[in-house]
Amino acid sequence: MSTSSSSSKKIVLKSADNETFEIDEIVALESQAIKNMIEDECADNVIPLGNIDSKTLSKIIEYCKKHAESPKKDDNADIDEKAVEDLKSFDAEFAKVDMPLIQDILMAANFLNIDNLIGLMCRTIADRIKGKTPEEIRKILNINKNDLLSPEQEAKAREENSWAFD
Amino acid sequence: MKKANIQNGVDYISTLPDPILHLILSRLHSTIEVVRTSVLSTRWKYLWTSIPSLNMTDSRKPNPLEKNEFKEFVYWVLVNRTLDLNSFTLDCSSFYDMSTIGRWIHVVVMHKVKKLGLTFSLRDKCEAIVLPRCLVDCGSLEMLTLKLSSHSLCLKSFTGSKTLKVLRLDRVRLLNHDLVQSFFVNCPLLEELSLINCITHNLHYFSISCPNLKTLRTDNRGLGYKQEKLCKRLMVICPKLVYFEYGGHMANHFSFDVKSLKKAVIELEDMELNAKDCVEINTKLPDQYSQFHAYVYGVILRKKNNSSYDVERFFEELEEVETRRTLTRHLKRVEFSDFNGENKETLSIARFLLEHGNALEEMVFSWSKREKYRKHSMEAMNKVSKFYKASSSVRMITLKGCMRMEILYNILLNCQSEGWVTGQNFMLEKDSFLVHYGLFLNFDPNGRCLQKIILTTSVQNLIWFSISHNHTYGCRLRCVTIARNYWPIKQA
Repeated sequence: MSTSSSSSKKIVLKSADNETFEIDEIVALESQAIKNMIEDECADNVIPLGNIDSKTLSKIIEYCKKHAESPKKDDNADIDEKAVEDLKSFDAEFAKVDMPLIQDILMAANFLNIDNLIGLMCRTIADRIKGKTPEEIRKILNINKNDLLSPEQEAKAREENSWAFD
Repeated sequence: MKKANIQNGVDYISTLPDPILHLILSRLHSTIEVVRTSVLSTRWKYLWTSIPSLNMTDSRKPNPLEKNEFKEFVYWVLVNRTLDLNSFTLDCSSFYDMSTIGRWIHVVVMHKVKKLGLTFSLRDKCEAIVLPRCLVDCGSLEMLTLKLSSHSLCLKSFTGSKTLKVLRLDRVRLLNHDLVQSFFVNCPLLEELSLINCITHNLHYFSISCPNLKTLRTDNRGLGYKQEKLCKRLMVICPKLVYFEYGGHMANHFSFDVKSLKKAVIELEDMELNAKDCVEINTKLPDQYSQFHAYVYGVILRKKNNSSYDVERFFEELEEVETRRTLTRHLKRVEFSDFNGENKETLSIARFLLEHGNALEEMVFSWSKREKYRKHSMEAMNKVSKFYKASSSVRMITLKGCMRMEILYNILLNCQSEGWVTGQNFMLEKDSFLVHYGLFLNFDPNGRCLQKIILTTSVQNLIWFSISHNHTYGCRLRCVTIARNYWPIKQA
């Protein structure tokens, strides 16, 4: 894979399954981690993202493209309301995916340090577990069975926090 | 897909760092729901002990047993804190006494709380609430919200804060004026103060003097009993105040020493039982009138249609408040909304303002009903046109519908500053479009607000101006006069 020169302002990302994605630098800057790399001049070659698969990565690029295009909130007070609405509905649509993909995106967003995307995924997860019982939440979050509390531990925790469980 | 993950034993969420899981937990309804996640797995067991915000609500009916359970729960959560607190909110009606709440405050202060919100009252309605002294020494408190169900608050031990930036008081009876005043003085960083439905105790004179205050809101329209006022005389001495909002029963005397004020919104409810009047004053830096408290830029008078209204009293009020001087010397713009042409009082206010307003530039009549507009507009406007006008440059504007006046006004003002809308009659239908080169205004289908303003060229370069309208609603544009000929007007 040839490296793209800085003049074209392209960044190449490589997913865990060896798929490469060429994106505009401005899109890549949505990720604080890549931004740091660019600033440290470590982004001249392909950036390997060994823990992000291509499905997740393309989703993340889709998000970053949209957000990079939209005017930033802190630019000025007279922000185009339509653009804000547009971004909101994009986010809502974007989050309509199944839980495993949400988890993958959240993991990757955390790795790439994309604040807005972390927030969006956390909100989505919270909305899905709101008002649910612990059993239901375990299922939704796919919590590892090996990590469960022992029945005695759980009974004790329920008793200690009894006010919350009535 | 889920199944595959379960089989693989992959539990991604649990591998994420605490701050991210806290983000998820902080979006849940309450701390109770957060604590419930302690039984999910070993990863989640102690997460709740470090979430940055606690939100405690006891919404149950008073019952001794449950009361103790909630009390224990709050202690339990506080005792188990492992990290400092960002925010703590408590809402517990009148179930607990001051000593219990005081102890909770102590604990959250120890946890370096930044935002503290307390909603409570005491069984004994006459008992004054005295907040503990530890709040004075709390080096972290930045925001305090108190909702006290009209209880008295005594600031004898909580005398100020070196860190407090935002103070919101809701339904608080302020007991001792001297203490309140010295409290404000002792909050050097205070930037925002809200006094919502607050009453000062039989106070004639209340002054708010804060060196760094930028936003001040007072509103007592929620109090219900109409005689209650924050005070009779209100004095605001806040050299850095930028925004001032006042709603409700007006103090009889009202004075400012504010030169930095950019915007003030004053909504009054002092006239007759049903009369709701609103004065909005947009202020600008004072120029040569440094004496006056704020340079009045525009005033909007709103009035309900059916309210009986004592005009004499309105003028009396004007006499008493220094607003009168403002109205006659500085007022530039008046809007009557919900104008129906039938109300004589409104017309006499219009007449008064026209006769006395030396600086008046614009008077706007907003008609709310198409029917009334058709019937009465010509007659009413003929009447108005015959009134004596103290200002030679005043323009009469008739508007239908309820467009966002501020936006329209800003546009017009821009236009005007460039010397190009100086017509005597300017009328815009609610479903019309105002378009000109470089400036595009688009009203939404209901005419409620401007949807878009795009400035593509600077106003100086404007060479073309036109007004067109939505043909489905018919053309109602009556008259537009443009001062300079080389800006031709096109009417679609």
